[in-house]
Amino acid sequence: MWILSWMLSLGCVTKIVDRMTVDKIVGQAQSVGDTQMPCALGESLNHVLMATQGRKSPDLALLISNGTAAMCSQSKAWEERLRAERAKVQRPLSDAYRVAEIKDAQISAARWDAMTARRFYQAFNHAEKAFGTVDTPCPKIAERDEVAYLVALIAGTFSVLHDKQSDGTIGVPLDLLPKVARASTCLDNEKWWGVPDALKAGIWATIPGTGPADVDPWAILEASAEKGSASGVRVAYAVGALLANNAGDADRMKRFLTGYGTSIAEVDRSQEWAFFDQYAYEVALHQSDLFWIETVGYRTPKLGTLPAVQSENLDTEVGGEDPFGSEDPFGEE
Amino acid sequence: MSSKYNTGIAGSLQRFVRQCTLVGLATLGWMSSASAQNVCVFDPAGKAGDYYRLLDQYALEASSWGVSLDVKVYTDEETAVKDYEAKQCDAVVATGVRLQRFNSFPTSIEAIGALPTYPLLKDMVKTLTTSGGAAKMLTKSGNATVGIIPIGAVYVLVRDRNIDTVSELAGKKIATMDYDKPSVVMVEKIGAIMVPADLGSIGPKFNNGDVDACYVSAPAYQPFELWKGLGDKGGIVRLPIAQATLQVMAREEAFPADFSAKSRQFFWSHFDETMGYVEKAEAAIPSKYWIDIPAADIPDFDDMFQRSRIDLRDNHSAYNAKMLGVMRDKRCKMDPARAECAEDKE
Repeated sequence: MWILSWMLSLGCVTKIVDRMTVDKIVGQAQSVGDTQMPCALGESLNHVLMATQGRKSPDLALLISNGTAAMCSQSKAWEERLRAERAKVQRPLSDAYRVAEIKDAQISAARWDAMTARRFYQAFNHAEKAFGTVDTPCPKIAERDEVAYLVALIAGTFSVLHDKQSDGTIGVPLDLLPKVARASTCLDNEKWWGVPDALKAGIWATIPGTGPADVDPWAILEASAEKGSASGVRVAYAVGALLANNAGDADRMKRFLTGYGTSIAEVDRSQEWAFFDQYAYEVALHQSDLFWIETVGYRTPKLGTLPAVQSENLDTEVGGEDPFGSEDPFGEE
Repeated sequence: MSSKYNTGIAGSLQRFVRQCTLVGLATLGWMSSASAQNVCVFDPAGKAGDYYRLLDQYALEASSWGVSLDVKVYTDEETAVKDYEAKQCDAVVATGVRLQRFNSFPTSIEAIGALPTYPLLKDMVKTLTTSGGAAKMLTKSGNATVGIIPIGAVYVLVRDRNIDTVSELAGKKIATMDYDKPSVVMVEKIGAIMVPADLGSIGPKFNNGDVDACYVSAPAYQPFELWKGLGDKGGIVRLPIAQATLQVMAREEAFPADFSAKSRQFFWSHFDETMGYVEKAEAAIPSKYWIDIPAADIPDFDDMFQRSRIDLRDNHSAYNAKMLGVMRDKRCKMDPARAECAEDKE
């Protein structure tokens, strides 16, 4: 027992926990196209990891556990938001229970948003403990830890968005986004499927004045999406769809969604990074579901397809005489 | 067989059911064909923003009034207002500065220095919500202002905190929204140099030192990272130069007659909630940055504010005289010792 206490006090255990998490667990999980198992693992392991804290805390491990746990609550927030949107379009205005149903779903979604924001923000804070301030000048990032840094950038971005949707319950500072935009330059854009540039450009597009005046951030996002598509990890496409929808740019969002669908059809998923591609798929699918439900009342049958716009009333005159009009083979004699 | 069942009770029942079905289908047909009114909402944070979410709640509330609203977010304010002008939106949510050209009566609530405290702002919004006389003036040329949302007092940020009097601002470069006529006039009045800016450039210009001062409300502090421009020497003058608002303007003909009153009541009932966003943003600014103006210097600011208001009222038609008068009365009721209360210039 004293040996364990001694090791804890020296921080040996935390280093082992960090390396075990990033090198072994993440190393395995990244190749499995399933987000629910890592999310369940993150939720269940987080407190165990915290228990290994001595003088130091296993910040890389806690970054991963909080970041993956946030995906559990995020999927619940998404589901509740879809419930609210469904009630909006499926229940007639005159339905006495319509407003209550929508409000209930919105309140429920906001609760899950708050939990998601807290977990992602915790992940980001652990990243700042592990790497130093997530900003420029860039910290020294070991190659094997780059994936953890990428998770921190994604977590930071989502922490702000979910906190806003929860009415600022957690109080995630809004200057976190420009920090993430700058910190994204600390990773190799080519190596990480265009995600660093996508995050940077997405933030530039979201907060006026954070990027250079002569640069079109959406063009960078679109180029990043293409880059990601070619590598079989389509996170940049998902970022594009998410931020275009947030900005109310429906046409652009539709282009990202259909582009995503085309990419799925043409490019196989990266087996090495299947987890990230699956997560990107779910982020994009949620944006698509929101759009489908708003348009036709039900969610996306297949990502990349768009709901058909209701055609105008068919003008029977246009077609001329009905060849079956007088000789309907199914008509009564 | 069929003729037998079409007579008597069963036949009547069948006819009744058929009629009910037809009526039901007709109703559903009306509901699906009755197009929703478009509300174009400017929220720089997009759908994740506080004001988009408020308008989402508004749409929900409006459905209980029998009005179907389709809320569309815009991150570019000018486009939202242009779409309203082009009748692509039945209502628009934009800052008072942007909507001034439609009706200067409600937008005069943002008049320079007119409402120096939040309780005064709240009192004024309440008056506009409840006053029958105001209701008439809130509509002009078919455009009705149907809601006022506070988005925070506008403060002057200076890179050098020694610049904290009107005379010291003379000759200094101030980032100024060029579409904001009142600010342009005020900058001229204090003898400062106007540097044109917009929402996208105001932060970089201040942070990079291209200007000596800028003016924003607290919610801009964090996302624009204005602490960079404030540095160790700068500060924020804790003296509201205006009260920024988002105003909801609707094309009167597109909505039922009682819509405006219900709508105004909705936004009034959310006044404290929306002030909460502002207070949270102000609380997030480190206390070291706030500069409190000595009481002896405040009359200079008040005088400059009043001269600007009168100039904007008389020479630029930017402010409504009636509205300025009511706000002056409220200021004097709050503090009868104010110098302006001895004479009636507004």
